[in-house]
Amino acid sequence: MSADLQTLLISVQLAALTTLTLLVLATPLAWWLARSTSILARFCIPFIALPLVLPPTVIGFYLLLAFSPDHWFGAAWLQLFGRPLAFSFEGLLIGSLIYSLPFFVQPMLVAFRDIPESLLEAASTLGADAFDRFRTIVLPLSKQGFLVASTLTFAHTLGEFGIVLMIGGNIPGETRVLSIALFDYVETLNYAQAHKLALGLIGFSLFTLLLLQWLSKPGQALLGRRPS
Amino acid sequence: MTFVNAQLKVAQNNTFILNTDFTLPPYGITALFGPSGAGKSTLLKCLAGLIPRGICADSHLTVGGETWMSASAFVQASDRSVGLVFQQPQLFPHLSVLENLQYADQRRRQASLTTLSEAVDRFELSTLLKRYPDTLSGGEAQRVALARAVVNAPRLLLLDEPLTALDHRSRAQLLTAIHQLSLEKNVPIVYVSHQWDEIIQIADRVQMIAKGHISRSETLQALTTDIEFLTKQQHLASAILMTQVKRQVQEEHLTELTLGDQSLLIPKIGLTPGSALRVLVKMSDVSLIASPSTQSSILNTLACRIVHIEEQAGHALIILNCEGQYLSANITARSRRLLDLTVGQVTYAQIKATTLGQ
Repeated sequence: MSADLQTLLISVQLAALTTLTLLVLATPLAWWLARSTSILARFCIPFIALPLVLPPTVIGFYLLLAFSPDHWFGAAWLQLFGRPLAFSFEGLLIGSLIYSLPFFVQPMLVAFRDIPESLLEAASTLGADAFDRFRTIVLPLSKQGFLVASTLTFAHTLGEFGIVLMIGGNIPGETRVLSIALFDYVETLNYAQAHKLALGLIGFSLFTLLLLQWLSKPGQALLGRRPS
Repeated sequence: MTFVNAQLKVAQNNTFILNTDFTLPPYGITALFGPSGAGKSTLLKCLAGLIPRGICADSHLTVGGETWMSASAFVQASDRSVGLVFQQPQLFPHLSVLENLQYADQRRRQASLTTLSEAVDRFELSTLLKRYPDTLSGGEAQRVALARAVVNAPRLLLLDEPLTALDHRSRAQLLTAIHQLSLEKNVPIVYVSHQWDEIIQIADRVQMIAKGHISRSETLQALTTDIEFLTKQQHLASAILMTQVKRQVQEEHLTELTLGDQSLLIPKIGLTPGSALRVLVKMSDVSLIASPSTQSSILNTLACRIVHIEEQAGHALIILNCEGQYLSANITARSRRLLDLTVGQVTYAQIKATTLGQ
């Protein structure tokens, strides 16, 4: 397998796993944030949105510290799985989850808030319990939100650079992803290979954004910022 | 017989927005009548279980012998089998009309009140089944919403101003459907409205609500023959006459109705002789004459006895007793003088009668 193909595979794997994990974990979180009127929920939103405004290197820096076997988190991980988190694919996945969280939650919040409370009330008077309502009313009505959130998360993870640079370690076959490979080609003045990757990423990103534009309702297209 | 026994208390910011006791019988239409902000919708939501337990903590509610709310119990909305139809139809936009009905049918908790196909016929939905809610007119959507609630086999049907957003024709059509449903099926209906005209056409009982409290609960008959109520509530302008169909006058496309010893003619209506029929008489459609006239375009002249006169600012409110039922006329004080009307005297009322169409 060529080095570039391997890099592409790692990137896609990371993006897909991040998206799937967020689908499972961040969907209930977004639902809670969209429906809850508690102070805690309002307090949570800025924390989730933080990666939108922070340089990725800041998050990468703190994650690197937390992943170190000297830190309780890194130590516990080492104890549990027998290998360190820093410079591992798992570490990269954790970083991506945190960094991509707002890109998933934001469109889901919009989609969930679009569902009128009265529709859910109507469903409950007809005998639908909370899980039934979520499955039969909320999911189908926020289908578009899921598509936008997943696409955005996938594309954003694929283009991630700052965090990966800090915690990934650029190990071929383990943590070497497209954006890092591109950086390497440029460093070594291998412009021909750099062009291949860069144009590929531009093409993919453009395709994703076009897809998003097509999926989004007018007026709420392209939430957040473009994949960095 | 009591079916619903309720002591409801709903508090918001330490003040009660609802604090009232009432009971409901197991059949018939109870109208909840009061100004906006009186707590009508809150009361319905509380019955349906849509008010969080925390803010209706001291409420007590039993329905058909089951306790739904008490200090130790709170039955969730989804377990109550209460049909609730709002001002807006609240149809599920991703489901077709048929699927909306099936959603309700699949989740009902008891033997159905009407089968799905019976509900489709009753609310005239057969041509709409494949359509989606966003393609329906307001009246069509509200018919689907009512059918959906009925198919769900509710133990209690709550209607929160279901006709407010509709045009005149759809209103009459739905009002008839609701009335008919109540006559044929054993389900207690609570009908919230601030439209007196709607209430007197279908209600059996009226509960007056103001500031979160039901101040008065009467049969419609008692309320419409209460002179003090009628004089105080002049803005409620319309009266109702309970009549019976006597015969069809085929050649003139009219139906003759009996009202005590007198009779009334209305545009032809497809009811068999003997059927009960409510006739709505708006105060503005009543004029008084000294002797029964034979030369008038107005079809109906009823002999009445004047039971009350209230004069104010050039106007006179005349309350008339016609065969034991009451109607009001609003004439000028001048006309009153010219006709020399006094309490106890017999006079003749020319009326324009409207009914709920069939």
